[in-house]
Amino acid sequence: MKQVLVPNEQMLGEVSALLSEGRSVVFLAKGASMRPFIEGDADSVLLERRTPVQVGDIALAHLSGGNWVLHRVVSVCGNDVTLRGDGNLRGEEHCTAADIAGTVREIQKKSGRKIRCYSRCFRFRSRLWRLLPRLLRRVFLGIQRRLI
Amino acid sequence: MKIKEGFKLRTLLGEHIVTREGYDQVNFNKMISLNESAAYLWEAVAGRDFDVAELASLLVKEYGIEQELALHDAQAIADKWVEIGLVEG
Repeated sequence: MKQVLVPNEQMLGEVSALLSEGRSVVFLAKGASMRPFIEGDADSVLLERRTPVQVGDIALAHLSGGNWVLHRVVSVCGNDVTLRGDGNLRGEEHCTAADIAGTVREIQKKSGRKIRCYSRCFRFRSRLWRLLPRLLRRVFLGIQRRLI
Repeated sequence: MKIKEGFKLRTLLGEHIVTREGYDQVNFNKMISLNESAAYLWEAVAGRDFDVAELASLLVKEYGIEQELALHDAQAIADKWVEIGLVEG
């Protein structure tokens, strides 16, 4: 089987178009910014269009600079949405609700396990993670990085 | 033989891509890319029964190649489609 690497800008543009048609889309996640919940190049995500976007959702957003991020929604204030990667100790992204292409309904772990992201259990675990002190998150992420 | 229900040819990322679209879901991890001639054949026979001889005659008509070469290529592509489960019958 041949693996084709496609620039993010190109692929996520197509993903966004499919989501706006009402389809759900699965693709392999990239990067480490959503650790410990999503492991780049190992886990896949299933996205769908869901409005309105809610705090706690993992959203695919097209930022004003042209970059795409798949990060956690940490606040929604009217039309303004703020996102932060669970694995990022600092830094936030800002966009409008219209810049959100879709949200993650399911994380498909490399092991085959599927995590439903709208479930109470997952939302609770995500909230707990975000409430941890930054130092503790840093230590945990450091351990996870060494184990993977 | 016939192309199985649920497979759809679309242009994605500038390529001819066959996707399985059950439950309105598009899986970017499981895509099959077709070259120009395979995409032409796919479109010509989508939704109906066909055989290798018909694929060959379509290749002769479109590309003006020898019948023998067309049969060889048509057989190869039909075998590949069967192998990866795109067609039935």
